Amino acid sequence: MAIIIKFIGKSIWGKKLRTFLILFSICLSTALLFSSLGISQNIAQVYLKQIRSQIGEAEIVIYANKESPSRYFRTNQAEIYRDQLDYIIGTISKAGVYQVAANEQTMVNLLGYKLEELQRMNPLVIQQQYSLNPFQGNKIIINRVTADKYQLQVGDNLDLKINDQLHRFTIAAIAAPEGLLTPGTTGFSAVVPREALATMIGEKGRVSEIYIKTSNPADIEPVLTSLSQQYSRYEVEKTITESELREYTDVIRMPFMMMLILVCLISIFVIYTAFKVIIMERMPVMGTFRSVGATRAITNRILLAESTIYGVIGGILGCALGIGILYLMTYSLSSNPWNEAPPDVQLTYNPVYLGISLAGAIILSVFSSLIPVMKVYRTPLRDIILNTYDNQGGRQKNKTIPALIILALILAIPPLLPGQTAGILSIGGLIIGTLAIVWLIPPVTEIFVRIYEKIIPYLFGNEGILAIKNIRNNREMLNNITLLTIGLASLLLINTISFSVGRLVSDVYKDLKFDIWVYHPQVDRSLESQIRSVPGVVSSLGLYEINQVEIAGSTEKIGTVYGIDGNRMLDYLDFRLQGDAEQILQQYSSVRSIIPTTFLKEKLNLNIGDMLTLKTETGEKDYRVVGFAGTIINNGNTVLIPAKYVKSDWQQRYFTYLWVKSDADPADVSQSIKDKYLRDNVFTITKTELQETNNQSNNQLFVLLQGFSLITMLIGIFGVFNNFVVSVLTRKRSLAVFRSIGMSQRQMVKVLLVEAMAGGLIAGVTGSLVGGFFLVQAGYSMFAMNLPIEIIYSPPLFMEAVVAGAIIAVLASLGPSRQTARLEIVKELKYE
Amino acid sequence: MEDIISASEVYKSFYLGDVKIEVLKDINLSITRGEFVSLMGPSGSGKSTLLYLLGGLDKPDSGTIKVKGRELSAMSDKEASRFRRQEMGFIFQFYNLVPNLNIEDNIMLPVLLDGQPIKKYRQKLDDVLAVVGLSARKRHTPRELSGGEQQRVAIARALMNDPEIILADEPVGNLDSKTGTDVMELFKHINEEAKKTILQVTHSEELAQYSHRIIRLRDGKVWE
Ligand SMILES: Nc1ncnc2c1ncn2[C@@H]1O[C@H](COP(=O)(O)OP(=O)(O)OP(=O)(O)O)[C@@H](O)[C@H]1O
Ligand SMILES: [Mg+2]
Repeated sequence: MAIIIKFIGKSIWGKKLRTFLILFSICLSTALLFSSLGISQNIAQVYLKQIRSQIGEAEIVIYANKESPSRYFRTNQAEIYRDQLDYIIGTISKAGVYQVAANEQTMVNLLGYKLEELQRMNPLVIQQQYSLNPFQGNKIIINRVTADKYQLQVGDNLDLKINDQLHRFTIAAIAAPEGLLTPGTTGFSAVVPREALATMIGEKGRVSEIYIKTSNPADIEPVLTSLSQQYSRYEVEKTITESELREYTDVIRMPFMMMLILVCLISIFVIYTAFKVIIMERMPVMGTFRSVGATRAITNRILLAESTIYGVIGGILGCALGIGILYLMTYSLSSNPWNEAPPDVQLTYNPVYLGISLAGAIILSVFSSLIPVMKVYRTPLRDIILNTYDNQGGRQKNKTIPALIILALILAIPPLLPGQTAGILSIGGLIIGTLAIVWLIPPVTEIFVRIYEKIIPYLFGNEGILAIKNIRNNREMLNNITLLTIGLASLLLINTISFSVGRLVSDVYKDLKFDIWVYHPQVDRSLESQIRSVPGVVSSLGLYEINQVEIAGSTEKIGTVYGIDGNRMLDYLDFRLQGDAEQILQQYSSVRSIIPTTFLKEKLNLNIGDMLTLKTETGEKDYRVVGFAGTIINNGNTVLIPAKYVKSDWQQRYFTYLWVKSDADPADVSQSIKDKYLRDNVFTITKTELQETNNQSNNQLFVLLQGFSLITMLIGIFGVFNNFVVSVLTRKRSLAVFRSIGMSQRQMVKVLLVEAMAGGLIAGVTGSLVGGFFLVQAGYSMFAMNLPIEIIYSPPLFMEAVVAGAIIAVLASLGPSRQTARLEIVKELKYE
Repeated sequence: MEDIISASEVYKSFYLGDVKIEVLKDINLSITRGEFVSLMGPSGSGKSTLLYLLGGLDKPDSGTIKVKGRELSAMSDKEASRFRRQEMGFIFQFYNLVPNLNIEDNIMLPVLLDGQPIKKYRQKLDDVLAVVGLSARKRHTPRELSGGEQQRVAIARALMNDPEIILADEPVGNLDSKTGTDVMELFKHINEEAKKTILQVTHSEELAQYSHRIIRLRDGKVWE
């Protein structure tokens, strides 16, 4: 036994490249498994942290909405629950203006707090101070970035205009640019004493938000209920809700799962091929062991022990790498560009995940090696001892028909099922479908060989004919094609999805026809007409927006209801009405109607003429479906309802916002609107700014995903290269035969390269097919996630995949073919 | 008669680790055109090694080997390959067929490699298949054939390009005596009718009787 173990150790250590490849693929698969298990928790953590940086540990928030009698209110009704609460913190916020120079002013977001309360809820990191305590009167705290920008120091005066009145503040402290004072895109934030600010704006004793934390988390629900009654005309909400969190994490987790599956498929293949070679190498020795009395079980156990060793080592490395990846992701998501100090990232993960990942690694390794091992198991003793074990095996059973049936089912069933189920099934479909496609590769190759037979002889002469003959019935070549197929398909999947998402994002902005988005808590006709008088403003459209509207008799919710005027809406946003837009709009304006998106049409199974019943402020209301819109705004989870019905059904007094068109530079016009209504809390953003902020938040995610796809691709290409080396090496003997009967070295290189190219082209085509299949499945699961990304099948990309298949294959066989061309003929012929 | 194959002062040794195994020591021999020669000697005496050297599959450490007046070790890979295709037919101890090609393709290989249009060789293929008695097995793969049948495929392959020289390493070692004598009759026929030069390695004194001459190898030297 000791001799056997020594033998294994030697072989693991002796073939360093192969060992590295096996460990690398196991390690990567494990790392991905671990990070996709742990990612939700950590992403949620980052998200929570972002929220906490604003509001600390507060659980409940109370604020005014459009129906409230005033923006400002008292804390006393909440005070009665004081003994159940850890804290009740009132804050008041107000915009001010800082006149930087004669022709330059900037908005200041003033946050009124009692300092000791703020330090309790969400401490500022004070870097410099000047008679900060007691925090009363005209004291102000700004962040270091603002201080540097305007060259302000502690003790300096800062004059701010609030409600058109000038107030002189003294800079009492400079704090780190984080938490509450994280720099934003416009203006800057500053903390001032609460009472002082309230007095300045004539709201003494009142606040604009109340933050509450209970002493016992079990009290959250009852406190929330009682407070809702106390503040019946205000919003009383949890600061963070479960569904928000889930939505946020799902978007990130799903792509990881997909990639995990792909990486696992590739790994299985790499390990499988590696083990086949290991076994072939061992055959003579195993035969010797067997002939001197080792039982079949012992020799198999040796092989399985070896794969377990790989699993354990690769798994441990993978867990370490996984922790690293998680850390990196969490780090990059939580980094604050204004803060020099690295973000303090706490990685949380369930130790069970480590166990699962390690087990996954071992299963992956053992499972992948099992197939070749089983084959040895079935090989007769005589063949093992005489070393006549034949790698080519018998003729494969023809699985074309079952494979086609499986594929047809996988493609046909999900559209018949409700979105959620289809999404979950599509993951399984991905795996089973890939298997079915692997079964289809031999018949597809056969078809290609038939075509090649007609073409290749003219291009490459007799070497071409030989190359085609070598592709046929060649298990190694089929393996190469399969691996390359999966690799290319993954490449296509990842590229197409990032391309489609990119396109989606830019498309949304292409559909926007307005230039500036103007928000104000109370947009009415008079404000609208005032804004229209701002130079550069051509026209405006006021609209209502109601979020998370329940559908009667369904658990689904509509993300956004737009109350929008039918006559003018297409001038402001191309909603992509399906069919005759004029006719649809005519009906839209004449009845209590609704235009859902095509996404909702599929999700809710709607048809023109159907009635959709929504829960409104005034009870359940029926709306007639008059058409569908292809827009992907709000991820397509949107309906349009004529403005007048939204106004009455949801009892809206004010428009939610205005869309403004301008004939001047939107940035300038936006600034003029801001300047004019600074004290009214008008918020404006241009289309370009909107796009930039969106791109920024998408970018972080994309960089991460792209990093991962790169690794996936790397291991795929690495696997393909390895497989080509292996396939040439296992054919050494046949190649030596060719040499012995007069094949020159040049001819051999030519044959091998033509073979690789022809095989690569096949893989390119099958890879494109599989890629297309993957994409359909990906489409289903994204649909289920409420992300109806229109997958853009770009023909050039698919063409590139076909060419890439041939190029990768040729590159991969360049080295081994030149190496084998120089093989020692006699040695290969005499000894196996 | 001129020498078609000649070797003078040929040395060949192998290294197993640091141990030098001198297999061939000062080999001198010549074979004339049209001769049928048997190479005999105990196992391990270097018969196969010598045959490979004469066929240009390996190079001697020193000494010269000339085939049809040309020195093998001076040839480029391209020339040597052409030589193996056109002038020599090789039959190996272990058949050495290409497993994933069928019988027809295996036999056609030398023609293919020579860049000839295969269509022109259909008739020739049928002829050699008839000679070795395997006409019915064209489409089978090597694994579907018995050892003896595989050896006959190897013989057919060696004949395909009409080479002037046939080098055979124990061509009937794995065949029963009936088939063995059949193959020997075939060789004799080829030698007499087609005027081929044949050098075969054999362990059997009886089969050696088919040849004109026996070269004996012992301790890496020729004993005639
Ligand atoms: N590539 C090699 N490396 C090391 N030793 C070798 C090599 N090729 C041949 N030998 C050694 O050279 C000697 C002669 O081998 P060869 O195969 O020529 O013998 P042979 O006469 O053909 O024997 P047999 O009748 O058994 O076929 C043997 O001892 C063999 O071990
Ligand atoms: Mg021999």
